[in-house]
Amino acid sequence: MQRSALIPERQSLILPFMAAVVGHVGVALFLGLLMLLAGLRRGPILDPNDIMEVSMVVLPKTESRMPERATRAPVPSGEEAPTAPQPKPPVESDLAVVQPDAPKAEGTPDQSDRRADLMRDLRRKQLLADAAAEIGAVDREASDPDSTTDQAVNTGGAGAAADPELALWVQKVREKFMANFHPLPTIVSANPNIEATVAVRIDEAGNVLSRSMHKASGNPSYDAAAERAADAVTQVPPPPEKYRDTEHTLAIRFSQ
Amino acid sequence: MRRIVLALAATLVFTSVVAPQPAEAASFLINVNPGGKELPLATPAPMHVGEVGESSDIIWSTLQRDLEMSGYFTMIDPAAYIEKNGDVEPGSFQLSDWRVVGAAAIAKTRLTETDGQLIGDVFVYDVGTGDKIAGKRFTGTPQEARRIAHKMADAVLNALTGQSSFFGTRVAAVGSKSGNKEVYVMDFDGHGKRAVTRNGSINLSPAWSPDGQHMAWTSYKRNNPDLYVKNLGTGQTRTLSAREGINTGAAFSPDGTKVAITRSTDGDADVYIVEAKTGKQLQRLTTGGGIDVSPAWSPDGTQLVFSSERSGGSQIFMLDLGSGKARRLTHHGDFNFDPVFNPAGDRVAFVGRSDSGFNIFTVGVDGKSMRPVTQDQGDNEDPSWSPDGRYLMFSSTRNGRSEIWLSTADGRHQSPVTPGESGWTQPTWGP
Repeated sequence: MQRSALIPERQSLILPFMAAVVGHVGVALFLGLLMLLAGLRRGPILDPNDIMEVSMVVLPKTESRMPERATRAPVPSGEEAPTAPQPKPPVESDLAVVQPDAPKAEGTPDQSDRRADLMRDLRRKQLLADAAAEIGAVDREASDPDSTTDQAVNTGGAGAAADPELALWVQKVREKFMANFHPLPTIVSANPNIEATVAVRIDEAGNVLSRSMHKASGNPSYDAAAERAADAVTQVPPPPEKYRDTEHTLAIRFSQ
Repeated sequence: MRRIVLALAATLVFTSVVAPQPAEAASFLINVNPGGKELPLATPAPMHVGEVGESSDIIWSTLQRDLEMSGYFTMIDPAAYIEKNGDVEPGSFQLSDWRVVGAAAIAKTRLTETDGQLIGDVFVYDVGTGDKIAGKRFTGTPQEARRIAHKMADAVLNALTGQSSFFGTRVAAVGSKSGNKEVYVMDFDGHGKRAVTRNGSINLSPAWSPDGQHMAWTSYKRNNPDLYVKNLGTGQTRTLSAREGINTGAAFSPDGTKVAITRSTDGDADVYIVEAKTGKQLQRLTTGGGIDVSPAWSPDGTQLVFSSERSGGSQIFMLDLGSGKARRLTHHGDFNFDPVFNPAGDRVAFVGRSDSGFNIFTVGVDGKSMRPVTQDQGDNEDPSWSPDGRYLMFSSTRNGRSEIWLSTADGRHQSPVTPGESGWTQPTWGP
């Protein structure tokens, strides 16, 4: 009785479920098409709207390189990780949140990977926000002639960035481009807020793959000085290992 | 139907939030600024139209030295130039030749000598764009080649930095080449020396009047340190102060009507103000409490700085002429002397003794933010500001002899004014 009573209810769920599947696939295809079009239209390395959002944001792709914010209990060094319960073979990430196995409705898409992605992404964003905030401070201080940032980074003093390794790398990259940046003083003094951003793609070893003017200042002389400075750099130090990726984009903002 | 709509909505929301993002490469935004560096500048040898005598070498070397001494430029070594004899007009030379050597700008010159006249053209180019930034012509006699070169250098500096130069200014200094100590006037770069005194005695501490027409100094020519004033136009000399004891440390007021001096008539050396034209005493500013020497006016004429031993060792004090109250400006070191206001009136340069010898420092008029201009480079004394306040000239023994040196006010760029010459002290920058 009970069994037969459930049948109509199950049947009533089929239609919404099918609609959800069709909707999901449709939306995914639609979004994919949009992304493809955006990618084709984008052309240059960086989307003009993206660049400000990624200010000093570092997105480690391989989660195994992430620093100590793992959700798993740390494994004591020199010991093997416990074998039971058997973890899933690491496919994308060994830091993915392990969800207890829950019974799944037949035919329901498995959302656990996506949830793990979401959690991982949130954790990553938090980490990067911390790093960005600290490096932002370093950035501002570096332009201050009275700054003691270099010392702080080197000594790990009170003013050191949360990640001195990253701050130090940023400083080295900055110096590479700064060494060749020679705008005419007349242009600079007449335009105190002038700035030009050149997008520089590098590989994981720091070799420059390509450069392009991302956001011109509108002043041909200043833009030419920025481009010359970027052209003169063929290699930068590789990013710190934990942030390293197969490819990075450096948005080099030439300003005052 | 309602369930279908809900399911679709849920799907849309879920898809937009959780759908995996496209692969994201790590991105970094890195701010780069010029950092106050010097501009790499190329100044190829002048192009000649017809026969040009030795004026060409004078102009080229003077132009290069002026621009190098300005501290604004890194002069690219001519040996590195690819282009050797290019033209000066736009489009007549390869910009790529200059990009390769790292020049950010080029200053090209063309000289024409005809009918006893020397014509100098200077063209300034932005190497990045190839744009001509400036083109100017100066004329004079071949004997005025150095003056023409200073004018050309001024045009280049102005075109590239927007600043005016000090290339046309003069400096007074004490030289001992003759075996005595005589006062000389020279161009800012040490060339064109002319004697102001030739009395075979000891002549010290030259001071310019604000209009550059008169010079006061201390001379022992009558066996006592007395003060004299010379009209540099007529050559006429008169006594300013010759009382018993020392008469020294003359400093013209900004309006040129008064002179602050040091006298020891009543025992200790004290600071007085006398009338510039007559030498008549107008005011005694300090009394007792140790010696008070080396007065210097603030640009607005309301303050005087001087060295005083009233607190023990020699320190710098600032006297408000309105209230008559003096306050101590320096608190570091036990021997600070020879203060001089910058033209803006917000900083004072002085000499301080440290473990490494005598060095030039600057300090804010509030007594804060003391900064060294020289460090570990022999003894450095007698600071004098440039008229625009961006440079300091001083004497230095860093090469084992007393030379005159020029420095940016922050001490970052320093160069000799009298290289290879010994016995030069007390440079005083004139208008």
